[in-house]
Amino acid sequence: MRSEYEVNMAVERYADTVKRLCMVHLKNTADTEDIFQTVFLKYALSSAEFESREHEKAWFIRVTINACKDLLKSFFRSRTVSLEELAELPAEMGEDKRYVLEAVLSLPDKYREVVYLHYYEDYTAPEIGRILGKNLNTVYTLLNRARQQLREKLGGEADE
Amino acid sequence: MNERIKSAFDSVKAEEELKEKTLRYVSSRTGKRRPAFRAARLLPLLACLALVILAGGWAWFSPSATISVDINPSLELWLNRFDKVVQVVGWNEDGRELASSLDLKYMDYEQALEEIMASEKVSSLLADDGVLSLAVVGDNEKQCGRLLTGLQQCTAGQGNAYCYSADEEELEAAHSLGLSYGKYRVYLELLELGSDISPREVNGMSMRELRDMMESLSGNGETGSPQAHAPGGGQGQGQGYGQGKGPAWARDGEG
Repeated sequence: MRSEYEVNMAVERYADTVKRLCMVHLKNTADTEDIFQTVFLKYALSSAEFESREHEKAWFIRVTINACKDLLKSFFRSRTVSLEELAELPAEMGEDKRYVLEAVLSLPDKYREVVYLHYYEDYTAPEIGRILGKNLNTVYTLLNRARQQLREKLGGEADE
Repeated sequence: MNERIKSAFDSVKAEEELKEKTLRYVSSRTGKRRPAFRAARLLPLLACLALVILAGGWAWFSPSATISVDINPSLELWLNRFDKVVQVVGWNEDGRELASSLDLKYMDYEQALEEIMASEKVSSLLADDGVLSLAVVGDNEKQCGRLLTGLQQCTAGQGNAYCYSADEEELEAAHSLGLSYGKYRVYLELLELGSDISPREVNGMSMRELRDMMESLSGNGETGSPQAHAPGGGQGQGQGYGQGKGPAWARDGEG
């Protein structure tokens, strides 16, 4: 089990990452709180040794995505929450940022996470494949389709 | 587009409240108690509070002036800067007896003095023409001046009461001989008049006896000036015995 200090440091380092992943996958604040608790409790109870900060970050991303998927799969949730509504965005966000985020969040779930990992976290397709446990070709396909859809919504060239 | 996506995600941050809530939850589940507030944030406030309490305690409990009361019981009232008695010290047998019979701690000095003067021992000595010496000793001129005025008012009805003030050095010299300040002054006067009396003998005698001894040594039947001026500028109260030389201890401070 990890010390309180280690947990505090992890929250300071990865809370924003977990929050963004929650936004990519979930729709409301209550679910985000659940995911935060699940992820950081898992970290506190885990004795996994990390080789580097990057390794640790990848662990948090994988655990957060899995926790989000578990939550979405749960029987109770599937009956009570609409999956169509858009995630709550910060009220003070600028117009362009809001527009871009809404475009990303309007993509199907499987595209949203690869867009986040590739465009924001700068992971390569093989890295994304390892984190998500997906075949490399699948990742390439997902990225290409996501890019096409984003280009339609936002205009301009992706990956330039 | 890359930059627009990056910048858009960058503006999403985890709220402090969410972090706090998560940490409290993890603590509660792992058995490590986490307070509602981070204690570290309160440390400067607690440190200031502790300092204020310590400073207040120090100001309250540390003596800043002494009133030496001598008639035969010799005792000293140690006062804090608020003129409250923080300690009572008996300097001879009678003094210790009187100190233990009265509960003067944390009393205002005027009230404490009234209690002393109303005690059986002191009131009977005063009724029997006893001499009461009251000395204010301290380095704080303002406080000493205030105390001296207060003492003079307290003893205004007592013909044989003498009030004066002195400084800390003299008090220390008195204590080094095992004497209260009032008796130390008389002891010095007796030495000056040629007596070979010991501090121990002085300590056992009443102020009336010592005063009589001074009068006989000075070969003068008169008992001093009606007003005993204090070195610090304070004025004493005394009975009107005329303008004779009188004992020097009762004349101190006269221009």
